[in-house]
Amino acid sequence: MFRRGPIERTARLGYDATVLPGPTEAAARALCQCIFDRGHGIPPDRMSFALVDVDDFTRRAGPKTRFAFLASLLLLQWIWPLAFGFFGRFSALPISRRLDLLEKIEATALAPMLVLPKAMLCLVFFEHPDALKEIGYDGRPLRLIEAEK
Amino acid sequence: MTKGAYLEGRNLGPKQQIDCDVVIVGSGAGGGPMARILAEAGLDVVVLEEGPWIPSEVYGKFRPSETLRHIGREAGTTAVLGLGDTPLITVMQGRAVGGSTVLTGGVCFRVPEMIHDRWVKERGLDMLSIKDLEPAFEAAERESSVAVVPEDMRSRATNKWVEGATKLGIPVKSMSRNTEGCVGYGRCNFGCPVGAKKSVDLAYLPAAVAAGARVYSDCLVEKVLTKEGRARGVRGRLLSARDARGSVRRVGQFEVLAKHVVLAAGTVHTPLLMMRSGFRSPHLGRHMTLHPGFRVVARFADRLEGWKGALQSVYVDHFEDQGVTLTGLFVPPSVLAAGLPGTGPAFAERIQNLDRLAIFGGIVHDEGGGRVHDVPGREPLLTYRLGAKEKAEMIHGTKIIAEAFLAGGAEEVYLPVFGAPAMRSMEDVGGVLHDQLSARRMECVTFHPLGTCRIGRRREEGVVDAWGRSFELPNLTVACGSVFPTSIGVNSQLPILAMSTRMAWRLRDELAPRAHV
Ligand SMILES: Cc1cc2nc3c(=O)[nH]c(=O)nc-3n(C[C@H](O)[C@H](O)[C@H](O)COP(=O)(O)OP(=O)(O)OC[C@H]3O[C@@H](n4cnc5c(N)ncnc54)[C@H](O)[C@@H]3O)c2cc1C
Repeated sequence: MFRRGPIERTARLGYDATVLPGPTEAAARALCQCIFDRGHGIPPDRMSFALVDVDDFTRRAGPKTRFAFLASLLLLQWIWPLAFGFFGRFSALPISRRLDLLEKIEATALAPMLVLPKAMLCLVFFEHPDALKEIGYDGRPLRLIEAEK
Repeated sequence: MTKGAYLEGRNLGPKQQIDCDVVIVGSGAGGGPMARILAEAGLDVVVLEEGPWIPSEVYGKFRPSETLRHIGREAGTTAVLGLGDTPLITVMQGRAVGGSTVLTGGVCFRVPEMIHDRWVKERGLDMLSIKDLEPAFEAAERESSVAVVPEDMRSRATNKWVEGATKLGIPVKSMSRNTEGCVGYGRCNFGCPVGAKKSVDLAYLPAAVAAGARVYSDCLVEKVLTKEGRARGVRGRLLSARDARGSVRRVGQFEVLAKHVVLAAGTVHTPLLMMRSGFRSPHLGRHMTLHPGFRVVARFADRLEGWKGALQSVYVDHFEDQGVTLTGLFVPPSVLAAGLPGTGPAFAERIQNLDRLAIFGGIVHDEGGGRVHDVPGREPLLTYRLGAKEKAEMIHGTKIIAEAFLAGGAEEVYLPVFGAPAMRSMEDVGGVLHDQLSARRMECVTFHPLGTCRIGRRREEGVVDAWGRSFELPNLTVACGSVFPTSIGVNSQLPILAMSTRMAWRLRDELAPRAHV
């Protein structure tokens, strides 16, 4: 159904992980920029950490969740911009326009469609040790084995 | 006596034929006490668990989302389809040796007196009075090391809410948890890395194994075998570990023949297994209560560092008769971020203030509008209809939490309502939380599904009797969250441990009458 995205080597996971299928990856990257970019771009290692990990997460969550996650990204990429009067794919819109669109979606009954990808990306993005430090978390590392090293 | 052991289905030969006295399906809050009590009575016990066996030292190697991937069913993303004016509800369930108890916040409550009264007076279940269950609760509390959380372990974030509640005259109580030597790793819901939380895999199963029980992980039971109106055992498949693509494969099959079968696969999967095995009760899979849960986040001016101290330490039962129980909580930053509203600079500012955030949550005592449907595939379809009364209770509970936060000095409050802006006053809150609010806009999660094989006096009223014995097969007992006759209004782990303990005592007297003379 989808063209496969590039294969990225992730030493952390210890196997070759396939990142998200074609258009969904573009939508996920664009969404990440809207959620996590605080004005100076998202470091590439954190972006790929989030994308590779969210791919792994949704595979393990099973076919229903994987389908819902990918479908909500596809809708975000192609359908919601048109439905709300924005011309162009989500990932092709300037960030300010994307934020306007997201705000509009959040205020409607379609909000849950946005919550799923946003929640999943947050869940993995803020597990990166640098992302955690940046938001002032000085608690124990989420992965205790990292503390032991 | 047989030699007890933990055995991993993934490493066994392709065909397993096992004989025993009692086979228990599921190793969580229902299965654990059964295994221990029956094994200690000298019975040959086999426990079959679909999920993996993960020793507690391994939990520390997982990030929270990795724990969900390895131990959470559907990685914690199971959703209930809302019918009518009902939110989409996420159902959290464990899938591992120890069941959902591995993922609990450790919170322990007894069933409130008013619920026991309801069971006795409205349902005629005399054997479920507070007095009848008391010895079982005492035993479960002892075995699980239940103790009150000391006040000095409360986090500053929790204390902020308590300050506000006190100003409003809401009495707050210290809660009890099943921990011993808790050092505040702050990740109870993702498996305790130091074994301080006494989940079933630590409090019950080691003793069961020491007494001779065999605990098999990676064993998915697919059918209850019957012959001439009696249960003969169970059959199913051995599962592989998850591969790099997240899939689990069948690596073999097993058949376990037993004198007695105990189903403790949880509220969602026990009825599913029974439906797939040909049980016919009209109550099977129905009356599911969820305790729909909600939480409110608030931002304060001072640094609170909510991750320091016990994650859960206080509760409020003051509104019990209005259908709401409130509890303090905190969650890892990634989980907190996942629930914060907004995007762009507004979201960035909220998450940048992580150390100033506090959370408080609540659950609603609901009336059983849920159902488990058998559909193709491993997982069932779950549906739920939220009643008007329950919706009003949810709104009421959310308002109480927000009001106490504002009274405690919160600068901003974030409601569990999609698209709601940050609230700065009770007028703001009232503008969003009103009768006309569509429940579909509310964020909702549940940790306590109950009641799909409920206890009744006779087969017209339920699936099992007050001892968990099936009305259809005399030598089959159901012992998990599915047997509760109504919602209990409090967290369910301790009530299930107690209910299963009581049923196990009875079964022990029946199957090994001389064991405890
Ligand atoms: C994240 C989370 C937090 C919670 N926090 C609290 C808390 O703080 N306090 C509290 O009181 N309660 C809490 N609970 C609820 C509590 O853990 C559950 O109510 C309780 O564990 C349910 O017991 P059970 O025996 O019915 O099911 P479970 O404990 O879920 O056990 C059922 C087991 O059966 C297995 N199984 C299912 N089908 C099959 C099959 N066909 N073959 C083989 N095995 C099968 C499952 O994999 C599972 O391991 C929490 C639950 C979750 C998920």
